[in-house]
Amino acid sequence: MENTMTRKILLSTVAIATLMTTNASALTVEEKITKLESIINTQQKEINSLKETTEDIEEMDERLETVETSSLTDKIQLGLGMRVEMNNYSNTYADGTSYDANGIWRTKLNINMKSKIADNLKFSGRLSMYKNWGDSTERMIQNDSMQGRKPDGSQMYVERAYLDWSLNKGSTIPVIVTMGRQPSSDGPSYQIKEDTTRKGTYDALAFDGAADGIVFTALLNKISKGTSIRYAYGTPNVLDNEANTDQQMSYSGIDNSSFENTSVTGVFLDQTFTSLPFENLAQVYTVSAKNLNANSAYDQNTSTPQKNDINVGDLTITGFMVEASKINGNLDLFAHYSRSEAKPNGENIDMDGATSGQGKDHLGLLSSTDNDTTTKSGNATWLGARYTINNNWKVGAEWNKGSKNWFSFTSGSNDPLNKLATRGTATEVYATMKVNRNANLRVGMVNIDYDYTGSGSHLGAPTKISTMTAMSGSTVTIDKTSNAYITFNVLF
Amino acid sequence: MKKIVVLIVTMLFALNLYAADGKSIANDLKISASSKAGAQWKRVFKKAKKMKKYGINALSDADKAMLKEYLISHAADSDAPEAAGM
Repeated sequence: MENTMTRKILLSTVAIATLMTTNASALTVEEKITKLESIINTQQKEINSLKETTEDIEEMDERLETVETSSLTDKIQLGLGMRVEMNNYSNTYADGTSYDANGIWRTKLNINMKSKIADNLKFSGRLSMYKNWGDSTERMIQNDSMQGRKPDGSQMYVERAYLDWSLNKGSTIPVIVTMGRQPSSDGPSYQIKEDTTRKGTYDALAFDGAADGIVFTALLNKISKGTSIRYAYGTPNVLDNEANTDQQMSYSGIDNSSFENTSVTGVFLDQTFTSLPFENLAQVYTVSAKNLNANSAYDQNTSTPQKNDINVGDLTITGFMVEASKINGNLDLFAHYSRSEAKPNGENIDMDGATSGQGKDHLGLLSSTDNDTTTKSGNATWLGARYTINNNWKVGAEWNKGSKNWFSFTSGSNDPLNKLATRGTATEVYATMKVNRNANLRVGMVNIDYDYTGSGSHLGAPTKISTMTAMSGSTVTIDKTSNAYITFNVLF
Repeated sequence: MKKIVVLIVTMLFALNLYAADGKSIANDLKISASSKAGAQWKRVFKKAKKMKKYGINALSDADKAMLKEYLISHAADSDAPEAAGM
């Protein structure tokens, strides 16, 4: 600014000097003075204008500092996720009778949080409410992974709250420790139907729900492009639940030598093929869960509830998935396969008529027989495709099939039907309409045909539904279910 | 089976031949999408002087459009991926 002013004053001086010398003979003194006054007036106006500009800039600087101060002191950035949905269910029991439940409205609210605490430490979180319209009661069966994930009252839950601590940023193999309530829900390829980006760490066929734990991520990009390895540890169930309120006299643990807390450890290999001209992800994993539990939350309707938790056995899940997005800009494809291997320890929990409504059931890990320790193997496949028709419309289809003993950690899935846990076949078709950059409308239809009972539960031996009788529970066991839905989604 | 494998490999190779997408252009120009919000990237593409600053002015219209779409969809205020350690 000063340079400009100096340049103009110099030019004026030169102009005046020129006027004084070159035209000296041609102009009278009065004419010279008039011309000089004119030049001086013009320069004065420009100087005034520059002063105003300088004042404007100084004011802008003050305003920018205010914005900068606000930005630096806003320690958490907030984001919004919201879904309003209307579901229409149609159910058929194993005995052929049926019922419909139409106009089931729900609202899902996510308050997303982010904070960069330091160059090597950041926080992420998500507060969630998933509410049945008009519902003010808490779900009867509510395990930790379901909190904020399954339709409920208007309670707000902490679905995610974790720190990413980068141990050695910039080194050959950077390692990041993620600790707290993990981003373990809505993992790949759930985001394709939701029309978002990847929102979770793990294959959604095998793991979906809130979970507490610690994860070590090694980024191997400098050694092998697009590769990362994770080691995860979590505790989905500890002996500190409502069933044992009479024992919760201290926070230093509960004296119960007959029960071991459930623990999960897993190794996950992620690979992105950066040379491919479309977004892609492959994941291979193996997870071991020790000491799965059963507790009286499953036994609330009994007259003599079994108070103490028991361990029912161990579970191993192994699998892989591949997904490719925006192939040629308009096609998304994915394929997942997973295998579960449950090893019951022979222990059972008693429940009054859990499956049949009659008598007493003895429920162990995928078993209904006392002292059963035989391994139960199951598997599941999940395939899907989505096609982008134009800027506004996308259509998609998904198919999954699970075997008799298929069990995985998806009880906290946002899908109330938990279709990926199906011991049978599930299909879904949908169309998504873009409302704007941050919102879309989706209409879809899910059909589930169960082959075996107990989908999504690790307790009790699955029974072939087509062989069920009234005595074995055909009047209360759902054979087929469907849901025609419409959802309005916002992510901002 | 062999034919299917050959077909898939050929397809992948063919797809690689025209790999110029918004991301690769951004990488070539050393532009980080997350360095600005979407509205700020829109402003960059409205002014020749700002485009010149990033080297965008030398691109073809088609490449500019691809780059613009990529930068806006991956901007600082965009829907970012979430996973442990990401």
